[in-house]
Amino acid sequence: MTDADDGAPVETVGRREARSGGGGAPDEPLVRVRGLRKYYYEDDSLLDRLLGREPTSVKAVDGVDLDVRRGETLGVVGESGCGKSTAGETLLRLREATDGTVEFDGEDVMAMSDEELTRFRRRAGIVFQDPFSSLDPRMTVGDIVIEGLAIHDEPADPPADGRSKREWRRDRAAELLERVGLSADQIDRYPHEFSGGQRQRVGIARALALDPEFVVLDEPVSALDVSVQAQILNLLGDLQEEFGLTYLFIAHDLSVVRHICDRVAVMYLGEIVESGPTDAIFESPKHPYTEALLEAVPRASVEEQGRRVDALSGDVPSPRDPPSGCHFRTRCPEVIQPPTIDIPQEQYRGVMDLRDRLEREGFSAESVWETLASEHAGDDEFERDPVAFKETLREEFDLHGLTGATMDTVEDALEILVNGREGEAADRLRDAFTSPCEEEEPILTGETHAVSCHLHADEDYDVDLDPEDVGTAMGGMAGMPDGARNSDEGDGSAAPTGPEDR
Amino acid sequence: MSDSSAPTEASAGDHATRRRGAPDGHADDVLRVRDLSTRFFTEEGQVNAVESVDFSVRDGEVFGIVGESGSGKSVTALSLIDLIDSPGRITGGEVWYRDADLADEFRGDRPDAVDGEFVDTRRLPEGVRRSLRGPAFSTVFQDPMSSLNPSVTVGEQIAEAVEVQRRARANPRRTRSRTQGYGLGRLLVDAAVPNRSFTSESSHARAVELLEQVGIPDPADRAEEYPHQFSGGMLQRAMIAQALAGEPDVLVADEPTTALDVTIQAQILNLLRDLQEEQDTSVVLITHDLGVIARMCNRVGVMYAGRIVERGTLSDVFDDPVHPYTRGLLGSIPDLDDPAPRLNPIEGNVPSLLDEEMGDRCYFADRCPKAMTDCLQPIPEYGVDPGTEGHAARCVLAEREYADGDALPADHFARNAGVRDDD
Amino acid sequence: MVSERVIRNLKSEFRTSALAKLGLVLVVGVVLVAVFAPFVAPHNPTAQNLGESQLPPLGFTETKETTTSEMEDGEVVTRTVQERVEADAAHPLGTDGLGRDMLSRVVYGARTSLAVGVLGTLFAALVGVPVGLIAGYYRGKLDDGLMRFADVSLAFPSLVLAIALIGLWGRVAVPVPDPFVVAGLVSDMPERFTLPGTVIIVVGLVNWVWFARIARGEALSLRDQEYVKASRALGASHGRVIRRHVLPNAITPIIVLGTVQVAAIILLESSLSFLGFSGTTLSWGFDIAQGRDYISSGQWWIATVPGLAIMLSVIGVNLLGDWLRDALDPGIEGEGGV
Repeated sequence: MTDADDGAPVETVGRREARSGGGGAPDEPLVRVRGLRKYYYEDDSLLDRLLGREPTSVKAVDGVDLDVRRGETLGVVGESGCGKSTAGETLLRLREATDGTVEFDGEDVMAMSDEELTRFRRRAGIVFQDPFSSLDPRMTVGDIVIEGLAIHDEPADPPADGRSKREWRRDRAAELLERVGLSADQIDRYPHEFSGGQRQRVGIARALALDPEFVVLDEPVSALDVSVQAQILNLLGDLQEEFGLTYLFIAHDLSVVRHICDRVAVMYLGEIVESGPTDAIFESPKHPYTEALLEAVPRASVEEQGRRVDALSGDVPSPRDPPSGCHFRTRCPEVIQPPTIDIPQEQYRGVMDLRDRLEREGFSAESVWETLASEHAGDDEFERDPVAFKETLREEFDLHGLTGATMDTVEDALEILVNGREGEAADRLRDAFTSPCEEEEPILTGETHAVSCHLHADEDYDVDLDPEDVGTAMGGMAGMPDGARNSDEGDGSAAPTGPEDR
Repeated sequence: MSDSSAPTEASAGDHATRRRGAPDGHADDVLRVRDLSTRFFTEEGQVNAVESVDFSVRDGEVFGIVGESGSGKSVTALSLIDLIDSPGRITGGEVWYRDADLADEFRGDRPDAVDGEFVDTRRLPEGVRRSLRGPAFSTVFQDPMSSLNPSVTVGEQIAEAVEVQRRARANPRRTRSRTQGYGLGRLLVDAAVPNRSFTSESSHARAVELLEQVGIPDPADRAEEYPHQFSGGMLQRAMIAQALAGEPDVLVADEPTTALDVTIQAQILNLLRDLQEEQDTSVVLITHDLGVIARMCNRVGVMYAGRIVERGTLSDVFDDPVHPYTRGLLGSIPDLDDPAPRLNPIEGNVPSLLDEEMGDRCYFADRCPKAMTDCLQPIPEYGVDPGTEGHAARCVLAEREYADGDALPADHFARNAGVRDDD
Repeated sequence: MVSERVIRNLKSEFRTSALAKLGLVLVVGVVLVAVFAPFVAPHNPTAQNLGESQLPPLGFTETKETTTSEMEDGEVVTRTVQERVEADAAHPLGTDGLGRDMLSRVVYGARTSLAVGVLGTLFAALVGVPVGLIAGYYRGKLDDGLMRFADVSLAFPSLVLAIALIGLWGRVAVPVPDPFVVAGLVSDMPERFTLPGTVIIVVGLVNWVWFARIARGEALSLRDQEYVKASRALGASHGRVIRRHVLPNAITPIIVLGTVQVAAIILLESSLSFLGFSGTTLSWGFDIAQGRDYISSGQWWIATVPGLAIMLSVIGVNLLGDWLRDALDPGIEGEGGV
């Protein structure tokens, strides 16, 4: 870590005119999130409690640290269900957080009184994804745009020029509509009279009416057509420059994120797996998940034709029961093997998949027999052939070509499985193949470009340390002057991605 | 449904020379769509959702149709497989499908519906047309959750598709018999006795096999599960398995990955490509995502306001676009590998497709940066360059250079600007 | 509050549906008759005339048996005199056992039915809608509690509940002076119209649960709409969100339910008066109960005429409700054009 790296945020801020609002020092982040958690509880109704059912927790956001600096756009990117939108709404306290702190300009948002919260709401706005459900169909766009002014009874005193408050607000609405590219004479129309892109402009005007400093943009262009999406992205960029806005840009579209964001945080199953300057993330991603995401995006160019993507296997696991250790390990193409094992990654993946299946999905040997039987449908001679059984599994989980002790273990497990003892087979595999990735949760390490992956963990990293403690000590995100600095490897690769690239 | 009637009003002037039959195609064509128009007759008026669309699909290729919402691309897909419901109706055009047996069968009865090995499916009797769904055309829709019945197991639904096809095949006479196994009577019985088993053990076994083929782990177990127990990606795989039950010649995939995350989308696109290569199926892939088009397609049609405004090979359309809409579309997507400071969006909004508001002009002229006075008349489809086979555009720029002197005044469409007045 | 689109839907739905027209004609007819009852009714509905009792409706003839018993020669002799009774044009729907004009009674009965139907529904909505909105919007224990209570109320047979409540509070009837009579525009008509107060309260309390349930369902889905979140993000209080965003968007299904409830309450009121729990004697249900004894002796119309009146008005209100439901279908509202 060098001091030159610490200069990055200042450079970024300087690019746009930062607003020096509030009391915080200019290099303090405007929004600082630490350990944010949001759990939902299912099976938690009166009836469930009477029946003595334990509520299941859904860990939508599971310990997120973010710093949003003044004047920048921080992107939060991830697939559906990764918790990015929940994180955005929770940090605005539109949902009550289960745990964690959010500081806005030095004030603790979670501890705000009603009055303080009302003040906070004027300074932090939000734009939603769905241009259809985000506008009340029974209000005119003029009323929608000035709703914030009406709530806060703005202006506080009647305007000096003799207009009534109502007229003042109406003029303000017209002005805002013009600013976002609509015409002022549309002020009395209803939302259904507008196209998706125009409605999104109304949503943006509403968020701007109170003249906020910070705006959460929750997938603001995902529902729009590409040509309209480009209009809105340009508009958002212009407004940021004009009003010195700070954006938290939530999206699943990596191309859009690359286009608009200064820094990016990648989320997976409620956690941030990698964060850093946009160019660093896109040009030298460290986390295997980020790599896979970038690999999977179809590019709109002729070179894309016929490109075969090494797609991640499987689905995103349920946040009700996330995998132990690294949440990504069930799909990761680079799982770390235990010291005793050294086999090709595909086969290791196969063994892990077989084991996961045995453990998690209630897989039974009987279903393999059924599949076999269905292949031999109509064949009365068909008998339960253990050789065919094992071959089916070897085939499905890519277990051919193993040698030595590894092969013996796997074959043992298959033999046990033939005899219908799924649990024992899983134990057998677990004993021999447990990966460091499943035993321990990785923590976000690195300064400017941080990653949460055992592949990039410090060699000296103390495996016995409680990850919770480390997480707090680290502060997680980039640019923490007081954060613990124990990762050298991560910073080495981040070096080429300085502010000069932008 | 009579096709011999005069061409419909709106399309009458579009083609200087009306092509009859299914000529002027490539030797490998399996499907030739000519002058297809579909309209919706709604409260607000007549909506011209698909307007004189021409394209052909070759053996074993992926033909892409790309367009924004409201461009008519999904209605085109539904029109191909004859699934347009009231208040919509296919008002004109031909869908020529290559099937030598069917052509022989109808050569005597319906000579107008046969041309060489091709038959015009729109002129075939209703029953025959319906019987083509499955073995000839099959579909994968965007939203698998609403395309599958939530109260029937996934395996049962696929087995049902297998069974329909099996019964159809068992009966060599293609005409009415194909549909008899699944006609009104059966529907009534099924409605009265919902769990009456239509499927057999062998069709179940085939369903499991299909599920395995589309990469669903534990197919035998998963076949017993209900749609809500599947993830989105797995459901889309199941939908594809169902579509494959009839071993179709043409698979129509309508936004098959739009509802999916990018990593799952990559899986499904890989799967579609593998299946297409293995089985030599032709695919009509409909999407709004130019990246998906680029990865999957050999040839492309770009739709705007119900028409194919430009078509050609992938490199024709992506590297040498002629129509300003195609150019605008390509210019408005952010590039993942190269962050440009500013995007070049197409100004304005998607036009109304209401017949009364459309007028006889290039529908893109009001948003076009190169609109000329020539654009105010109906624009036929021009071949772009005689050298490049099949690259065509509905744009005067394919015929002539842009000239500042002919440019439309900037405020020409000003009275139509702003909010659409269709509400 | 009502957009042009809604009005257009109402019109087009009305044009295409013959049933909607029938519904509107019936309802408007009943309302006009009820309001202008003193002008429509040919006679005073309470005026008895034993000499003209049990006249059949126009177009029917009735054989009236008069049984007389006399002491004759120390024995009781019973004579039965059969006499043909012709319909009288002055009483087009006949007369009841006490010679009161059936048409006039039906006309005045419409007042009771309609007043109880409309006021009872309003009362039910006034109680049910806020409860439902609050339960659905806030969720949690409040919702659990309110809705369990609502479920229990629903499980109770409504008639039994109504009878129990009336038994508890007694029959309170509120006399309301008839403005037309007071103004001297008509004479010979009842000066007061009796509003069965208890019945209105009771039918409201029996039926509020329906409003609570539907309002709760709407609030449940509306609370997760992004415009509600957006309003919260601007700093709106929960009260403001419920008033400005939840209620206006929930109003359509509530209005549709309201029409259906009017019909249900008309029926409930008739049942209560039939059983004698109403506070007025000018009611369709009361007349049916009166006419019940005459059915076996052949005077079928005394019970049938008010029965038909109930049927027609209930059908009318229900058809009107169907029309509103189809036209105000929230699936059509709020879509963004083609």
